[in-house]
Amino acid sequence: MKALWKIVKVFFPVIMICYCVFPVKGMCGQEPPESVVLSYLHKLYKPVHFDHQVHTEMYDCCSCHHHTTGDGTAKAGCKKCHSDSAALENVSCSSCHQFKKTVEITQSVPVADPLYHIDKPDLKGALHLQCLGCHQTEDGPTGCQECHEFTPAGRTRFALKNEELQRRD
Amino acid sequence: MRTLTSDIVSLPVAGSQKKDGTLWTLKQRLFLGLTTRQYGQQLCRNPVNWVLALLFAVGFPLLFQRYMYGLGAVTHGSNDYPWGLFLGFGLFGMVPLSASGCLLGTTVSLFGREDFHPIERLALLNGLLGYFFAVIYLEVDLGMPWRLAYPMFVSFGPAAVLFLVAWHVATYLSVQLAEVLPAVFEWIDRPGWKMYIKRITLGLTIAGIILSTLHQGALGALFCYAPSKIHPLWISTEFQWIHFLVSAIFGGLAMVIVSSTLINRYMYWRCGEAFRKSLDNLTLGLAKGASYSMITYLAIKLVAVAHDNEWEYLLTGWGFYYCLEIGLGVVLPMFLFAKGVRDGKTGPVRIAAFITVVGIIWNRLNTSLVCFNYQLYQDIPHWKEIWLTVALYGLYFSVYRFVVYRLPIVFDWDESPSVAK
Amino acid sequence: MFTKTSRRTVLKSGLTGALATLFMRAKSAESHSIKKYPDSSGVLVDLTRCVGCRSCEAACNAEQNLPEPELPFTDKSVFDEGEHGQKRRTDETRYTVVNRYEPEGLDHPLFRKVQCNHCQEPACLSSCFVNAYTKTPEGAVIYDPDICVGCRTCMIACPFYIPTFKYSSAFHPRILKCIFCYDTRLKYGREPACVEACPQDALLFGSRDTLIKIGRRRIEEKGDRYVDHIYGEYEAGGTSWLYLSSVPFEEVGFNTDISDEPILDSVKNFLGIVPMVLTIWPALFTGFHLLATRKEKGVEDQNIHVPEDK
Repeated sequence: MKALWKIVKVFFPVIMICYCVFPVKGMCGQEPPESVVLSYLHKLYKPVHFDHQVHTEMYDCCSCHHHTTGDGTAKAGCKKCHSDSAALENVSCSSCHQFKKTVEITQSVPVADPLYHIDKPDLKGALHLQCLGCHQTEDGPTGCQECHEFTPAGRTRFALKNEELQRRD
Repeated sequence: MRTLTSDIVSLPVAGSQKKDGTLWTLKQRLFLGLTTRQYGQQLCRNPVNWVLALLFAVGFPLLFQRYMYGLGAVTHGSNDYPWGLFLGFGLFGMVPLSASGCLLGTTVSLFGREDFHPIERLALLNGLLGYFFAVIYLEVDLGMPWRLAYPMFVSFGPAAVLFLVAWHVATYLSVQLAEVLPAVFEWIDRPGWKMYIKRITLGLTIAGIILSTLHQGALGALFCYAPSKIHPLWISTEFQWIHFLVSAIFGGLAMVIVSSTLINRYMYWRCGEAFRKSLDNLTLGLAKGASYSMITYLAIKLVAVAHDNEWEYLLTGWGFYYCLEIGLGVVLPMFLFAKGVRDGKTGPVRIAAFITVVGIIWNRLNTSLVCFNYQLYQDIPHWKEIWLTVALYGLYFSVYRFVVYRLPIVFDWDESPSVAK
Repeated sequence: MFTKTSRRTVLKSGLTGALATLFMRAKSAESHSIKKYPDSSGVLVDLTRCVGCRSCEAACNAEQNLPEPELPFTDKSVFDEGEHGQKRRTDETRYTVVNRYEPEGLDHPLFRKVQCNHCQEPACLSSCFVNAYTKTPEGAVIYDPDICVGCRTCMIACPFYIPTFKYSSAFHPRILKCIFCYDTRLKYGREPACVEACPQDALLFGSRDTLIKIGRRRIEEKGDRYVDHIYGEYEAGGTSWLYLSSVPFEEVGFNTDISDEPILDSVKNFLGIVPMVLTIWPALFTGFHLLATRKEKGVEDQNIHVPEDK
């Protein structure tokens, strides 16, 4: 039983990473998900439940997604090539942004034209830059623990004693 | 001591034999020919000893604390100011003031100026003790003092300036020890051994010049490692080593004047005929040398400011402080030296020598502490660090006095005919 | 690996060398700095991305087994100025710190991470007289506590105020500084712990050359967002850690007075005179001695002879 639990504990987050990070099909094919569970930082933080629905009601797809949804893109740099690109099959963030990377990995990703699509953030970076960047300008929550609740390991990592649990930035 | 020597005619111990022809025993030589009781009495009568006792009473426990609980226990343990007073004063201040050994050695042995002979041994001793205590200060400051010999035997970093300093100070210490040994040989009734040293005197002297040039310069060059941390007026990557070398010349000369003045005044009983008679003339001679090297120093200082185009800094607060240091520490004593030499008066020369010594230390402290991190903040050393520094200087003073009391430094040893073959 | 060295090859290489020096003198004088670490890794720090979460500090603390801090890593009060009105710096309990700056004309603070920059030509290394520092081919500047004497010249020499000394220890003091996670990660080609922990991709690990290209690309693409300079590309001879900022670097605590020449260059003047003094002084001063003592001797004896010591 314990072993089984261990397997679940280890594999659950991995499966989550594979399937839960924005598993959105192209706009034409499928409806966007209502909610997305982000749990790849499971060691230090409890999973984050991202309310995709609320965000789709407030913003256009292209405010977060690149041109991949078929809606075109808001970014001037991308527009040069992708102003009328068709929607992709898979528009989830993780389909392009690797979970972990070094520059060398980015370099090894084959791209048609090496002038562009280099310096691509990894998944963690992409999500934080996107979410936090927007939250800062749109007055969303920006404190780390407003989205990420510590696991016990996270508390240890950040040298939080129990009585300091309530103290949030 | 003075009072005792006038009471007992056979004192002080100035030769191998007593008046009655028997040899002084080692114990008598150590106790200056006094009984233990008399010796203790004369120790207690001297107020200087009480000051020293107070210094040591606090200083030695501090030293213990430093070795048991780490440097952080007696200093601020600052990462911004890794070098404090121990090095700023003890190493960078003591070493230039100890250039005297090399300078007088050169004057007498190399240039054949035998007229400076009466003061040569004092200069050599001043050099030896200065370097020795610079190493003591270093041993207090080093994180792992037990690894002092590592740069010589275990791991080499020959491209580092400090590597040079380590090797040269170590070698030079042995050179100086050899140069002072004849006094020891006389004292232990082995005047014959002096021959071994005499034979290599010229070699020792030239080795001394080379080593002194390089390590006095190297101490300056050490600061070139921090060109962005020290105020530009106190650092010149081109000329720093020349600044340190040239200032060591008048520093060393001034220190001999100070030391000989004190000895002549407070240990007159110990001074030999030759020393007493020639001291005034020699003092003027040293002053002449000092004033020449001072004007050289000023010229190179000016060249450094011009070379790095730092004129505008002179108008700032730091510039004022710089002018103050140069004005009080160098220009003022330089004029006093010159005036003394011209008028043939030793009074101004002796005052100038005191000022010069303070000026040298002031300059080294400015370079290593005050103007270091001028863009950050000024760090006032912990009181324990100051106390320990002064206490170690007290130890230096005591050893210096101990040796001058006994060894034939400022007097000529009266060798007994039976010993001196 | 070994090539056969015959007299001919020696002669040949000697000749080519001589010819090369004849014809290429101007060129070699120009290319003053030889690039010694072509495979050096580095980290590109983008100040515009850092949000001051201190995850890197926490990760470093865990990776290097450093003592637990007084305040948790979530505490933002550490950004206020501390002793002597200074920002936090590295010390024996932390190899990296993040500091907050509020540059004028910017509506949000900027954060700067401080740690060893892993210079191409490290000042700590060149100032160490027992060779306790090593620059590894991977780019890390590492330290050997077993031969260190504790003179702390490296702390004097480091223009970035990085090495710190364990003043609290009497028997096992040592220098403590960021080692690029060399032992545990970099050696195996992995990024340092702080980079792995950064949520914002403000830290980017890769080969130094690539990072410079990427840095340039970011400046080029978002010119309004960055000042046109990569700090560390040339400073102090170049560093493995490189920085991008949206405001002039001096406004976020960088020392912009540090020259592009490595620190070693500023002591070269002195090191250059050492062989000169060692070789010229003995002859020069023996000559002086002969000249100075010649007169007295000469009177007695017309021959100029080396005076023996009496």
